[in-house]
Amino acid sequence: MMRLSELQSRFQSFILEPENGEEISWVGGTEQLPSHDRLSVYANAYLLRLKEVLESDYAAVNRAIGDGRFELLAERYIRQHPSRFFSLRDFGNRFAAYLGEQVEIDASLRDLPWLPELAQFEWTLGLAFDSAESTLLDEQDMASIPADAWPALQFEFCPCVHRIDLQWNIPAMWKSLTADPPETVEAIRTPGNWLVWRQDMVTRFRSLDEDERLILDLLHRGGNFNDGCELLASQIGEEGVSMRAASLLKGWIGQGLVADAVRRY
Amino acid sequence: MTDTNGKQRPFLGYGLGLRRQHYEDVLDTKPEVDWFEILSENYMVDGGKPLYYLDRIREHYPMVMHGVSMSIGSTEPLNYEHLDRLKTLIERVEPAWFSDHLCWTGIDKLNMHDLLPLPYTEEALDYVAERIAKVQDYLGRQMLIENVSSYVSYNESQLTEWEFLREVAERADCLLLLDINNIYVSAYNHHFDPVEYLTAMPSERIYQIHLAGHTQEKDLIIDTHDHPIADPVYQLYAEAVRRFGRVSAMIERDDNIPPLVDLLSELDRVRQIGNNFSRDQVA
Ligand SMILES: [Fe+2]
Repeated sequence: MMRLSELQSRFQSFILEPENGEEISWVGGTEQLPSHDRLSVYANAYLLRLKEVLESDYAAVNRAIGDGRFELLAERYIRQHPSRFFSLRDFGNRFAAYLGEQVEIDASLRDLPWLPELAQFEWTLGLAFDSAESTLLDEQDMASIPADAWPALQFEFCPCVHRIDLQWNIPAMWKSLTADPPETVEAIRTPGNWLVWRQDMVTRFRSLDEDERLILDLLHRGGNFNDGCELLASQIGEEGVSMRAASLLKGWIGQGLVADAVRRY
Repeated sequence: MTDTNGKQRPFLGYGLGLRRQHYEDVLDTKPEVDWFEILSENYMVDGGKPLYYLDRIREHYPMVMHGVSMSIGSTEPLNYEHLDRLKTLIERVEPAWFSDHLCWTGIDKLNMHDLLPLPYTEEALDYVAERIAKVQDYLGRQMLIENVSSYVSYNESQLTEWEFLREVAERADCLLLLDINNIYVSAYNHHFDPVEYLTAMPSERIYQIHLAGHTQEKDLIIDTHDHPIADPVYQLYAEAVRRFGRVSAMIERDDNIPPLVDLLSELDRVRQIGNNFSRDQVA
């Protein structure tokens, strides 16, 4: 008598590796419909379901390289990284890293050095899409902060705020690839620093100038306003700092990036 | 109709599975749907659109929650982290009830993301009934267990599927979500009489009915949920209503999702059958 645990172990092994050659004595079958074919319904559905998840999470990657190539990569990823997640939404979380490995070792991908970045960008958009809601700081809140509190002020950014640094023109490629109908686009090496976030339920992204990137990253890491201004001064000179800091902050608040401002001692 | 505790079985009317493609339509048009069923896992996220729409739609409609990843039949330990997330969602949604499937979804910490069938053995029966009882204790409420469709049968099985389901429900003292399409699909795939299945069901425990479409292949019916409900499934549904009386019923459409209006007219047919045949039964 085969125990439940034994049956489940055999069943799952078949799904993960249908062509493992093992004889299937534990499932009923007929000549017309052998047990192998019956079990294959599950194995095929498994592969198909996970492929569909990757196709939808990485629609631009799929369009960029075409169905055939994408399917091959998706299938290899599915075999190497079976799902450990309760929800399908997390299944593709290592796909960008996987593509990063593959472009290094797979000669057929050598002409696609930008592919991992495109995948990483799509994944980041997805993260911003369903990250937690948070309170938003508004202009009035800012105005009510006493002047002497500003130097030690720290900013909490919304959970939907993500930073991504790219070596290629990925956001332009993404826009073209996901346009309806898709437009052709050339990969161009052009390093840039990007901000991805969600505002009013819409996922957004934009590029950052060097000084904004530096102060944003510093504040995002928990640096205070005074440190931020010093950093800004080293970039644009002492005299422009207060104007620039004020305009950046105003922008961030208008875009719904800042959750709170707190004074810590 | 009274349940095991002598309570009246609640009747919510006729519902639909809530799908993201219809969020806007539901809010704009407030269709005549008596209630919505949500897929619990879709709302176990931190924020964003799904929760935004969930809260807004909940303001206007009763809801029930339906899960796919409890893996109640898995030989792996119960996932209490998952149960905690479920509990949080239950508190947010305040559903009329919540359900999951009589199945397993994976072992060795892996998830096949599928509703895999159990062998109908005494061992599995003891095991699953105890696990359901544990979940009900932990969440402090009864749950509904749904029959799945299947393509394989284990040689080890000692009971029929309906005997197994009935025993599980009675031993765990849980409620039932009867999927009429799944009964039809499995009856075809395993050559049993679906009416015999219905006859064996403990009527008082059936709180909800699922109806859905499927795909007929050469030797098997595949439970795809991407078509309208097939005629024989409507007939089996009528048979069920004749036996059980009024049960909250709904359409599950998961793929190839049509405009909301199409599902509403499909739901009209469900409602008509539900009202006609249950009236016969009451009379
Ligand atoms: Fe169902």
